[in-house]
This record gives sequence, structure tokens and C-alpha cells, in this order.
Amino acid sequence: MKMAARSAKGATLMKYMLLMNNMTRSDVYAGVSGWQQQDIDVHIEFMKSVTSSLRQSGELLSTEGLEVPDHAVVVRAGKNGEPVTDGVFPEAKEFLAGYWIVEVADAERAYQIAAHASSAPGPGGAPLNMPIEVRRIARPATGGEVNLT
Amino acid sequence: MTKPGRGVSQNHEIRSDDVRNESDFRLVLQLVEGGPAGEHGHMRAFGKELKDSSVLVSAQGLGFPGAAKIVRAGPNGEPITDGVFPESKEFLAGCWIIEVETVEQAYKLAARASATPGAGGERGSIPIGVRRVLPGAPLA
Repeated sequence: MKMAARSAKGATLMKYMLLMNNMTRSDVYAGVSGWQQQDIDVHIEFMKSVTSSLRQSGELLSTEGLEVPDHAVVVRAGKNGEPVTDGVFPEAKEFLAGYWIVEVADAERAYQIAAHASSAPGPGGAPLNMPIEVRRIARPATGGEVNLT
Repeated sequence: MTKPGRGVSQNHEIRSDDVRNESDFRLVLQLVEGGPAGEHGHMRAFGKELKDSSVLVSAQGLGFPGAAKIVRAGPNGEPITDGVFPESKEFLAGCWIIEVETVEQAYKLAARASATPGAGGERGSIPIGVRRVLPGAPLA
């Protein structure tokens, strides 16, 4: 267990996960491959700028983008602990496209960052205003953080 | 960045059609939770195993979605929040990012997480989503 990080002013920082979690196949975002090349380039530049500005402000802990879920499966342990796979689910209605983990002073700052990412440009440069789910990273009642490791 | 995992035993058969067999093979194991929280001792042991075998890139547990919000940019880029959604049936409880050589390794590890004991210490069968991380992620 680690103690919570503090800002330069001594405020306790909070970790949030910003999830691009409600993407659909019909969603313009999932259809990036159908966009004009220039629109894709502008979109990717914007996403890179989101990451680099969070890195500069020291708020970024990690970020990843996921492949479209064409090969995604759900795994459960069988009777003897062996993997039992289920899927692929090509009809999955909503899926996770990627996420950022940030460490910020308060929820409002996390919402600001999420709104900025939400406004990523789509076709013709118009903002997508895509939904970004904001979830806090778990902590035990004793303070510090729940760590799955 | 950690090296692709070498410590995990590979007693499974690697088929020639294993198209996922690339050297930089990151996957997200999504812990999708609908029921009571799993037993933490098992999760910790599993996390340590991942770390010791050097396949672990990162791991996070999320707070319950009771305070989760959906955020969109408004007309001037300001955050418009929506939620809370206390009735959501399924939600993301946590995830592991691992780097392995084959997808079968990922499935095995996902099964280990899935078996986390539940109420009464019985072997669990929690569903774990396995998704590949985009190589050269545009987010970064």
C-alpha cells in the first residue's frame, strides 16, 4: 500500500480512470477507418496533444488504446481452473476503446480533462463530443490505495 | 516497458494459426464485476505472480461505479456530466495490462483471475474480458 500522492501545495491527489467506454460500431469514432485521411490525422494529432499536455502537467499516469473488439473474448475459469473462452462478440453494442489514468487535485479537474478528450475532432474537424466515463481508482477505508499487485 | 513475458509456463500447444503470436503483445484483462467483491488474498497472489513472471505492465482496481459520471464536451468545451448510474448491471471493476507472447497465455492468466474465490471460499468464475492493446497506440 502506498500513501496518497500530494500536489505541490500539499493537497491530496486523487486518481481517476477516464474511459472511452461507450463506443459503438456505428459510432463515428469506431469508424475511423472510414474517415478521410486528413480527418484521421487531425484526430490522432489531437489525441497525442491530450497525452502530451497531461504528461507535461504531471497528471498522466498511463494511457492505452485498444483494438476494436473483433478478437475480444470473455474468459472464465473452468472446473479445474482451465480457461473457458466465450466470444467473439461481433455484435457487442458498446465497448472500451481506450483510457487515460490521471492523478489530479479533484473530480472537477478529471471532468475537465474528460471534456477536453471528448471534444476530439471528427470528420471535417467538428468535435465528436464523445462520452467519456470517469471512475475513481479504488482505495481502502484506511487510506492509500487498493493495489491489485 | 517490460519485456514480453518469459516467466509464464508455456505447456499449451502453439498452433500455426496463432496469428496473435507477436513479440510486443499487450493485452488488457478486464475484470467485469456484477456480484460481490472477490477475495483479496487471491487477487494479491495473482498480482504477485504476474509481477514475478515479468508479464505485468500495470494493474488497477476501480472504485464502485456509484460515483461514476459520463462526461462530454459542451458547446464551449466545458464538461457536461451525466450520471450517476446506480442501476448499471455490469461495470469495470479493474484491469491488468500484461505483455505476453501468445493469446493462450493471456487466457490462462485470465482464468487464474477468474477463479478468485467468492462467498464461502468457493472457486469463483468471474468473467474476464481479454482485449488486445493497439500496437503503437495513437493515444500516446
